[in-house]
Amino acid sequence: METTELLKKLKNIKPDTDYSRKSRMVILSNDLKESRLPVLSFSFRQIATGVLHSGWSMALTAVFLLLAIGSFSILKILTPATTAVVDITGLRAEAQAIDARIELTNIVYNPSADIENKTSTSSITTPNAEPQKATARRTDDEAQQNAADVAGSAKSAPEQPAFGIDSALDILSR
Amino acid sequence: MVEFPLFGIINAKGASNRRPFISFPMIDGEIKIIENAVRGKASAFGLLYDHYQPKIYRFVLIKVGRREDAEDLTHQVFINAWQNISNYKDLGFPFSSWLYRIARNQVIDRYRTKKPEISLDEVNEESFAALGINEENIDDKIQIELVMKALKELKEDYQDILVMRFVEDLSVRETAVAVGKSEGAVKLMQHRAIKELKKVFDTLD
Repeated sequence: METTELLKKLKNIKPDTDYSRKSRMVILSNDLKESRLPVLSFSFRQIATGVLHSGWSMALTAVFLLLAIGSFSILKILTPATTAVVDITGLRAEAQAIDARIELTNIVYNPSADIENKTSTSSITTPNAEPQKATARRTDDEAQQNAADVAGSAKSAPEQPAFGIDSALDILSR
Repeated sequence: MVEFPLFGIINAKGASNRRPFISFPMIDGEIKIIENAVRGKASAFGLLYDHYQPKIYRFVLIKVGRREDAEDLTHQVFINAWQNISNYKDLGFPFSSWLYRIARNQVIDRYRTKKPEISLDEVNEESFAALGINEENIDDKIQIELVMKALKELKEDYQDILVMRFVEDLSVRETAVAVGKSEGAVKLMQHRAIKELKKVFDTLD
């Protein structure tokens, strides 16, 4: 018999039907992992769920935006009365006055230091002596101006100690 | 893990144009069935199982020689195929080539160190039953046993090529894909394998 004819005899080998049935059942009951087919497993329900989810998030974002913008507008509507009361020029003037008083107070309480400064700047010549002089002159002018402003109000005030405002002004005017 | 370098995701459009050389009897609408199986449809894979399982079982049994081992390995082949079916890419080669490739790898993995042996001295009713051979005619049974014994004397590649070509009726191209060789190499190996088998038959006679 031909070799190939002999080989064809092997076609008669068949698996046991009971084994085949059981094996088939076991294999097909072994479900595929869902993650294996992410692209192909789209269904209408999944798409609808995705759309709903994104819709909800978009709606919530819109609501939050509206609330934020709306509350800002409401604040603007409710607060004009309080903003109208504020007098900016008055506030600025007040601030300047406070500033002047502070400087004047400093002059009152540190007269000896000022004198010492003056003597030291005149006796010691340093490379930056000129700028120092200029600064001193500027502060003197400012002090005079402030003192003149305050003079009126200071008239009714009780008597100052021996080294008062007048003597300070006198020192400054020298 | 079995590697399938020739296969990947199925391409149904291209597949219909690239199947001109298939000689293997296919299931009606196999392309569609494979597509559904790739998508994870168990019923589609069930159809493929029904069609290819006897062939794979036969191929494995001829290689391993024991019914229990053949059943176990065939089961593993189809489990592997089912678990990896999403990697199947139709490049114009039949699904059977893919399955034979898995089966070959499975057998190689199992019997990397151990080579099963069948002796003609053991030929009796019990051993036929162990092989799963249900032939009524005793002459046929003896011939089958003889062929299996002779095949065992050949190299693994020769065995595979002879079984695929003359038992499973695969084309040269399909066989080449399954064994991972060129068509020319398969033709040459087939010629040598037949010569070798004849020699073995002579010595057995």
